Amino acid sequence: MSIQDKNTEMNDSGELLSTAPISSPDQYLHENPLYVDNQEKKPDQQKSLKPFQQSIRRFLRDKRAVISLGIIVFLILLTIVGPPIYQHIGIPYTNDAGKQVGPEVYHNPFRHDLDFADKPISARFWLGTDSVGADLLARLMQSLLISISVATAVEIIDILFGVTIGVLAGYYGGWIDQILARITDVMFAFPGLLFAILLTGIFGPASDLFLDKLPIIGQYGNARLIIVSIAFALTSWPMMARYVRGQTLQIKANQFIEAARTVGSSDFKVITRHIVPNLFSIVIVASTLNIAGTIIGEAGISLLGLGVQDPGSSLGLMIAERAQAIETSHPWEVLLPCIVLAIIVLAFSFLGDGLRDAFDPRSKD
Amino acid sequence: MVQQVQTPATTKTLLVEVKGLKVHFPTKRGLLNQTIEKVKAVDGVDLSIHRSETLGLVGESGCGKSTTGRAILQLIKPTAGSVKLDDVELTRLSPAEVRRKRAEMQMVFQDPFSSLDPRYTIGQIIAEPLENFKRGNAKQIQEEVTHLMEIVGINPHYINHFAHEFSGGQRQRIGIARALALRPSFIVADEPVSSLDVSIQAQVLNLLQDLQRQFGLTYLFVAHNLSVVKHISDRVAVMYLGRVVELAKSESLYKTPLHPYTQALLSAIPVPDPAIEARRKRIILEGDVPSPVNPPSGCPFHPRCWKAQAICREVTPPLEEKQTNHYAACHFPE
Amino acid sequence: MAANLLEVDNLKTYFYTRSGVVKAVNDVSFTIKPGETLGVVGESGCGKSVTALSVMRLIANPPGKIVDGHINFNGEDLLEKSTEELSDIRGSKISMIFQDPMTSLNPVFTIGYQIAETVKRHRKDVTNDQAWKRTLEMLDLVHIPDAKRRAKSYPHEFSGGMRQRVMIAIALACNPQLLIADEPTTALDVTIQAQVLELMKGLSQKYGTAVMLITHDLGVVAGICQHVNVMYAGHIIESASVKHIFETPAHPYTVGLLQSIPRLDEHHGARLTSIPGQPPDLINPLVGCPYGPRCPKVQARCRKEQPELMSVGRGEQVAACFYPD
Repeated sequence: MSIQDKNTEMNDSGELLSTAPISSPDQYLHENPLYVDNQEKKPDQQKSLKPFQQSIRRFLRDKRAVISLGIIVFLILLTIVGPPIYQHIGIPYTNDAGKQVGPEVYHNPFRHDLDFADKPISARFWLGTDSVGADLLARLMQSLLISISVATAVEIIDILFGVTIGVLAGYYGGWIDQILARITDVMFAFPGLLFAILLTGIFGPASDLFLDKLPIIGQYGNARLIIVSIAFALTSWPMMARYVRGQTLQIKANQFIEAARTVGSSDFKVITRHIVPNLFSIVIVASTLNIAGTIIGEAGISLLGLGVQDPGSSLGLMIAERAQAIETSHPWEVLLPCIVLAIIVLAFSFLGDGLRDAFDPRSKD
Repeated sequence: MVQQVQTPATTKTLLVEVKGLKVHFPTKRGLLNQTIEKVKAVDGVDLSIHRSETLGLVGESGCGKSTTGRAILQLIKPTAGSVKLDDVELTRLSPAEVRRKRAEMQMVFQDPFSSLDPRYTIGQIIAEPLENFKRGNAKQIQEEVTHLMEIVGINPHYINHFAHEFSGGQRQRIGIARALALRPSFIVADEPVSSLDVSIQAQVLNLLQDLQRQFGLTYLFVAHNLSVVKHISDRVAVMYLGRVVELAKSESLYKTPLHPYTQALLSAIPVPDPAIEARRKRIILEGDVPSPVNPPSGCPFHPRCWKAQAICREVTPPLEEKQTNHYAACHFPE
Repeated sequence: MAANLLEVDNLKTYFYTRSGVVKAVNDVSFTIKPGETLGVVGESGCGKSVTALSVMRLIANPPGKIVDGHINFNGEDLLEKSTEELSDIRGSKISMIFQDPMTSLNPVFTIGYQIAETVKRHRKDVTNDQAWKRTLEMLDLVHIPDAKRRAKSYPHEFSGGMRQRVMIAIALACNPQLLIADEPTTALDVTIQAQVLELMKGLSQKYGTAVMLITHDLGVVAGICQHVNVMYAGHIIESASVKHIFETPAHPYTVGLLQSIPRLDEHHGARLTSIPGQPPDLINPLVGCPYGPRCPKVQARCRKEQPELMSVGRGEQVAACFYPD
């Protein structure tokens, strides 16, 4: 729907005059009630949506994507607030030595107690225990924490490097573009997983030794994750840079970029003010889908035994440990991490699809 | 060598002087990055534009008119030639100096839909040039933006609305407001009405004329529609394959076209009058508009020209004065 | 008196969108006689393209729908035909060419193949050789030089003007009775436009093909049309012979349109008379005349009643106005 604008008319002395403003259109419009109701809106009342807000609206209409977003948010909250809460829930019991064992102990993911090995779902152990007596729910939350942390770290590097270099390559072309092209060609030769295997194979034992002392990230067998994260980051930023470069070229073809240069904006201003904001949609979508890939990758590495080491937790590790258990009487020990992995990866994939459809509805087909 | 086309009046009346302008784009490079093939988009153009004048630049696709406009504004780097704005040689300025000069030379773009950044309000879009050149604090800039909107006929209430809420004609007005913001002396209008409906075209053309009178603007009006160009321009230059083939006052161009291409162009334009259409004799050109990758030898028009002789194939005719203030690049002008 | 080739009665085509129902074609009636060239003129949003697509039943459903009316072609209502019957009619009895020659041709087939395909689709008894012969005939007809060799070329090897001629060849290959041309020369350079229009005029005269030419360019209409419909806001607001439309336009919109076009033969510097305001809202059409808000002659009656097409006393000229010129 268009907005009525004013007419310019010239009076006898050659001055430009404006005629009736929108809030009081000419006689005709005022007296036609239907027209007034439908067309006459006070300027402030008229809803003015940024393209970003329009996209958010489109996104909210996609139920599958919204549900996926909900699941992801839930899982993230779970990993953050879950463990502390869980370690306060539960009734202490008395062990053989007569000591009181409270939930902060038995809901600890790193705790081994063979007395409670392979227990089914109970009031004490909400999802049961695994073969060494560790609470499965606690382990799952720890695993999810690992997955999400690795994915986040990788994605941050991915975006920083990918966007910066991609924009520069797309905007300036020339040697930056050539270098980017050659680097991406090389990195494409290394599939992320293999590269990670290579790096952990070489640096794994060393990292266990030296990074062991680092709190949280180094302890509990997580030291190798640093190597893994580096490996995935190195192999994913060239892809992001390529997407960003392509999108930058498309944006550059718009006349408003030329217009910005014409009105005296410096290259830096053109890039930061006009190009980067228009990259938002592609970066979000590429990131989300890349996160899904990283989670699978990390699980795969840990499954192969090259990632998180015992006593740490990872979805991959959990699956590997109990892969044989599928034939025994405790199949849930392996099915549980499988299902959780599937859910989180699907959630990110659907979220990525939903975001892409919301921000660029033309690509729906 | 192409001769100078304007008898030098006092330089003060000449705002823009273009001599020997060439813009060549390489299309194929060899192993050592040398140029094997290139597109000669602009191949030796001379133009002079007086203050407060409108010079029309007209031609079909591939003739190089848009490239000429952009090269004059230094948005595209000329391969050769000189461009003087108010006696300052633009081609020898550093990029920073060119950017400073932008306050004097602006452009109105063709596509109302891609010339405004969809992520910003029109207030921000019009303010951008003012911010770049620090024409006041935030409040003063806001006032100036409001003033500009009124000048072009957009209700200032809509200052915080986004480009997609406006129609094509309104967007063009916003683009004109943006071009006017720095009070330039020279504006290149690149097909400013080609994407608009006929009745809206008239509004925008009238606006451009009014602004010219009010602000003493000098226009280079680039378009493919000769009727529109003739209407708004004082003088018209016709381009073909990167060269100016005819240059004259609008009336003279229409009444006595000297170059065969101009004659064919004029005869091809449909006139909204069935009586005239029924009796006019059309010159139908053979073949297609040629591509500037491999321009013909000698006169670029000779393959399609019904008057072509041997000399036309061999010698490129220079743009010369054939009648008073009427220039043509032809060996056998009418 | 020959029967009408095409009779459109009270056509209504609406588009159902989230913002409301867009009444793109809102009660349109017109006729085309055999061999006649009808010009349909209007600005963007007036409904001229949607009318043409409705006649060809090419309206995408959803979101569009032909909600009312009759489209009588050779006495039969196209709205009652099945998809198969329509598919037989399209391309052989009624053909259409579109605005953008760049995207109208399939890039992966040679143009010869595309022309021959049309022939074979509609003339089942024709052999491959005969189809190919007809293809070369058509290419000659549309003045594509070196037809034998060029028939084996792909669309990207042709320029815009030549592609449009190939489109004409495809459209005329089965000798249709009606050719609908939707802005066929808008995307072409003016000298190429002249070539293509000459071609269309010549072919239509030679084969007696009726042409429905949709355009916003009144100059084009003056050159090749015999009768003109002017559309605005989904209605036909004036219909007359080409002579009357230009010499004695009746509807204020037509008058305004003619005055706002710069003409080559007019004096330089004269101010164009522009039509104030904006094109109308098709979702919430006004009560009364749709042109009212912009009309210099608007009266009280115009706001309340919507004028139907009525005679203005000059031959067959009709205009939807209470106070025509």
